[in-house]
Amino acid sequence: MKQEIKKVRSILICGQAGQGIQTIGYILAKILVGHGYYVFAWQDFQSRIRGGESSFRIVFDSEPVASLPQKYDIIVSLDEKNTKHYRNLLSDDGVLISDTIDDESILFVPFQTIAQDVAGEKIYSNSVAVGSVCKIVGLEYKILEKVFKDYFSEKGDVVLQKNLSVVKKTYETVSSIEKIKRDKIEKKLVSRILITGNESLSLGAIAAGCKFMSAYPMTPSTGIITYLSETSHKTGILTEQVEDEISAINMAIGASYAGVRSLTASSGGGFCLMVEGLSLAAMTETPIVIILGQRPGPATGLPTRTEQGELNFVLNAGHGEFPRFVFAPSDAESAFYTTIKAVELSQKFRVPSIILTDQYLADSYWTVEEFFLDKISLNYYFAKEEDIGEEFYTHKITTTGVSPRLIPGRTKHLVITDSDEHDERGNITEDNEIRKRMVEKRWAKLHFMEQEIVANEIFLSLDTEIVLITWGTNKWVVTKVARLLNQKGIKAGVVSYTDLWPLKISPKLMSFNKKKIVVENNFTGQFANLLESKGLKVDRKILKYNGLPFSEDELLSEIEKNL
Amino acid sequence: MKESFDNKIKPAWCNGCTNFGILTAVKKAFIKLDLPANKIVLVSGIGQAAKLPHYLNCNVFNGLHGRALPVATGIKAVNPQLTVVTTCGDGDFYGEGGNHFLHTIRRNTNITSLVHNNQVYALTKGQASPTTELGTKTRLQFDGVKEEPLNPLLLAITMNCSFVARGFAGNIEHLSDLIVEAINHKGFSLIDIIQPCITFGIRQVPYFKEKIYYLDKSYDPTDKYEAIKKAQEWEQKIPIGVLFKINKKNIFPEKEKNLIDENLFNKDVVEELINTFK
Repeated sequence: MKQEIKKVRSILICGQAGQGIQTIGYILAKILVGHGYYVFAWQDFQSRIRGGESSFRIVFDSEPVASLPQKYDIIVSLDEKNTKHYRNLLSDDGVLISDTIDDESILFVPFQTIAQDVAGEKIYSNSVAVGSVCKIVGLEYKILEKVFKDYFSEKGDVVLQKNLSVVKKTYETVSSIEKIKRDKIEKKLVSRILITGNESLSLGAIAAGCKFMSAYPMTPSTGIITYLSETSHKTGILTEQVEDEISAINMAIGASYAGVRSLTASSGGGFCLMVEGLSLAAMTETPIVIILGQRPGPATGLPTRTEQGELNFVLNAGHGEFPRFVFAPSDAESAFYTTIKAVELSQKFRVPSIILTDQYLADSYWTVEEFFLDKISLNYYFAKEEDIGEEFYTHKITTTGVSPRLIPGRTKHLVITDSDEHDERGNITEDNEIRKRMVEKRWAKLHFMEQEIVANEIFLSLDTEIVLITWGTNKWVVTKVARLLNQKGIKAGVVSYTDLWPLKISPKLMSFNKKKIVVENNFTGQFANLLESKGLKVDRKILKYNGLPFSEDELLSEIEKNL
Repeated sequence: MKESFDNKIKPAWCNGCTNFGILTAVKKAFIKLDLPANKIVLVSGIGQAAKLPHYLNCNVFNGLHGRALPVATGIKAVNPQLTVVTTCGDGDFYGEGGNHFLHTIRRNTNITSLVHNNQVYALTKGQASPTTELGTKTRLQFDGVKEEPLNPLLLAITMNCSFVARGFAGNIEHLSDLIVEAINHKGFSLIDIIQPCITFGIRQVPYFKEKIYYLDKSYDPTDKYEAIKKAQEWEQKIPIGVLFKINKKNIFPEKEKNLIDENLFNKDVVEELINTFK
């Protein structure tokens, strides 16, 4: 057994599906947040209900973190198979805690025995696992106690007390057996938010005034309708789990036509079924927001893993030509504000807004300092009856391409629209002159839509030898790696995109004439190709497509391989 | 002034099309119900039947082939004050939209669906539809239809559909009364309308006039087993009227609430939710 551990900043908890590792991980993450750390936790699990190998990986630090190392300072395993599967991810001076294998290199803690002895039931062994880590890392019992109280209070006092007595005993037992020199924890009194990407997207939808959501469950986006349903008694949002994604988008479009802000969410496969509806939203100029949680395809692919493979798809999805917005938030904070922006812009321009997330964003727990609600200002995009005049035209041709909207039933005017080509009033037409004018009307919006777009976000100065360009959640690992490169004396800048379409490239990036490397999670380098199609020369693509996110170490060594 | 619901758009239907009868019946029903045009939304899919909403004055959402029901559900769900009616053909509603048909029965939204059933895909020039009878020859099904036809009324009744009726495009007065009753019924109401296609139809109005009979007061539409028997009558005689109705407690949405009037941004609620993550 190792005699000391330097600085614990990463913990991997592993076990079979059904063993409760998500609960342990979440509790541990909350305890760490309670200590004033920034915490990030990614879930690596299989598409199954019981058994197999899964892990909950936590990183934490005194400054914001959201990227993963290759190796972990502590591994806690609840299962022998998982110990074998994950032990190669233990760092050289790391500690592996287990109650299944008792060999020299493992810190043996009898999870089940302690649980049985203290609480009379083995199911409390998860609390022993939590307690062991907390003791080893040097976390305060008081904070642990508070988190346990918050978490278990619903389950009754008996359950809470049993859990707490199990942890107390664990603290004593582990102190007597461990000889690890602890890192000093500096506790700060801040109450930060620990939230998943899906929860954050949902809060964004609530804050953006969405009142209707229809969806069909699909990993990794199911968490959105789940959260919106659970909180609907407070928010007044109406949610409906529908028969398929075709119904999901059409129902949301119906609700939107009737005058409420609405959304749907799915993954790539479900979005495939929505595509005709996307085109319908465009033709009827009905605002709609679609959240697409990316996972590796084609077809069912790897249901529980992560990828950025749907960029080309969402840019081109839908028969016929029409403008759209596409966004890819980089983290939970960005997910909140991006959702609000996507909803607002969809309303303003009467076009579809697509939010691309991925499993890495959707299922992970992120630390957010605060959501600033004073920053939110929503506009009411419906016209006033008195501004309309005698006749109302749902699809009136204007210089911006945006026609005034009215709510059916709330005006003397009739609101008419059609998936067929239509005249300004909304009635079906086959007149080729009208057709031409309506196509031009829909596209007239693009110029004004572009003005709403942030060109790109520069996170590290571009006064450098290389610039790393990425989009969505890769912002975090790329920024971390750029910092590591800078520490090594290799000057590296970072550009990360959240507003993906309409695409804008800043003059600064355009004029950067040294090495440009694009980092993304797909095989073909979809974003790199998109940038090149707009005239930006890309020197190198670093691509990963095995279903897992980049780790800091692998990205760093990949970049260094060919400098 | 009473609404006439007439507008100036010239229907793209064949001269003498039986859809004209349905159009008149729909207008008459709205007049009988004394509904203002701006409180009605007609939702349709694609096909000749789905063009109907354009030919009268009311709000219109003419959507995609097969997808009228989810759109109509979304509209009604957020604004219960609107009267929402779908007008689709048998291919649109039972074929392309078959899944939505099943689940709308389950969901039981308070909307009315008129299915112009002519047993043929007319706009695409004469292919078999889900209700085309076995053995019927078309250019595409050159050696006859080999699939069992769908019996939409029987299917709906077995699923406890809230209101199940059959109308006849050749009897405008009766059909308009049926539409009135369907709209007044709370829950999902289906009216399958015999609407012979004068261009591609196998059977024409005189054939059906021979076969149909009207359900009278001696028939009890709340008796499910009788309704199941009635729904299977077709070869010899064809019942017209309300075959089945039932008052169901489960209606989507559970609470009737106009979501349009809700505040867009309720800071206190968002703050309260955010605090649960601290």
